[in-house]
Amino acid sequence: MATQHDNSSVSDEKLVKAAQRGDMPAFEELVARHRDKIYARAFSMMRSEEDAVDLSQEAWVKGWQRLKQFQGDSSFVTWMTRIVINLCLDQLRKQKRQRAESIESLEEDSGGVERQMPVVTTNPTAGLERQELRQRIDKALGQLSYEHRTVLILHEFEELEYKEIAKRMECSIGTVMSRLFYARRKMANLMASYKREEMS
Amino acid sequence: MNQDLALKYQAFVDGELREAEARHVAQLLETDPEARALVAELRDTKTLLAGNEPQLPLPESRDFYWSKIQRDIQCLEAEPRSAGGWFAALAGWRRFLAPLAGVAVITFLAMVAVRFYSPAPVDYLAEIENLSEESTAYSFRSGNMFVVWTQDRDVTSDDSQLKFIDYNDAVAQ
Repeated sequence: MATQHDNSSVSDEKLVKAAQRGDMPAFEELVARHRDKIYARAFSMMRSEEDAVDLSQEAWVKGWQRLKQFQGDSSFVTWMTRIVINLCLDQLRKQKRQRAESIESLEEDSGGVERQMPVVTTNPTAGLERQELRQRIDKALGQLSYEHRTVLILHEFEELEYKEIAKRMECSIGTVMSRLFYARRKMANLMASYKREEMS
Repeated sequence: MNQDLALKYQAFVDGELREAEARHVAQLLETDPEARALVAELRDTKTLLAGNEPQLPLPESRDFYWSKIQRDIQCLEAEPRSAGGWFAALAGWRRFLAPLAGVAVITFLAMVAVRFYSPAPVDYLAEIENLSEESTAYSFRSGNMFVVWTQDRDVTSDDSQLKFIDYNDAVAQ
């Protein structure tokens, strides 16, 4: 595809401006550049390859529709990431309504589970290659409930403040704080358990 | 350690406390080794995650992935034109609805005002020239109706006659 090669050296900013004028090949180049990141974010939240592909594609379609609203206050990929996160949150809410509460949710409701977890004092990731570390993080994220995983992703990867997370997740700041606390403590203990498994 | 205090330590790690509160928590940490261990774990987990978001390649080729996006965009862009018909026409006229409704309301109010608040129509005795010495005639007009009351001067009132005459005819006479 000749157009793809033509656009490969063009900056994101110029591609966005071209796409805002209706240049579809420019938009296609943006999709090609950032599709992995948008998909990865959707997968982190959904834990389903099929859902992540569908929602990331839906995010790109929405991105095209709302492109004229993009003012460049953040980077294009940050803007797209916010779109896919919102779609994932909507989807997770729908799924939650359809299924029974998870064990993690029950644990959270019972309260105090995180306080019973031992404090991890040694670094459970010492000596790990970055790729291996990311794989373990991904594995641990998969063991959290969607509420805990989402709050962790929004805080640690998206770097959102408590207030902003509460708004997006439609819950109180107190709930965000307790979910984040549980998620972090669970995460630390899961990483320590992987380390122990490796040693044994 | 109670839950509220634990959450406060976490807010301290995340920089979500006000300055005075942060100073107070820092003082508490100096005297509480258990709290210090917890804060260290929270901080390590935060550091561990920052910049280490799992990187997952999309399990589809560039062309295949794009083809669905492109198809959806084309469908969406075609929708407003193909939807056409009544809905499109209604959508086009929708911007005139508010001013039209305003005009209709004003017209209605004006009609009501004219109907109920205008002075009553003047029913008046029409000027009928009565040249007869034997009879008396009274007339009045209401709208298009012209009423003429004639009475013989020499007879009793039983002989009086009431005639309805079309106004236009009366004028012609």
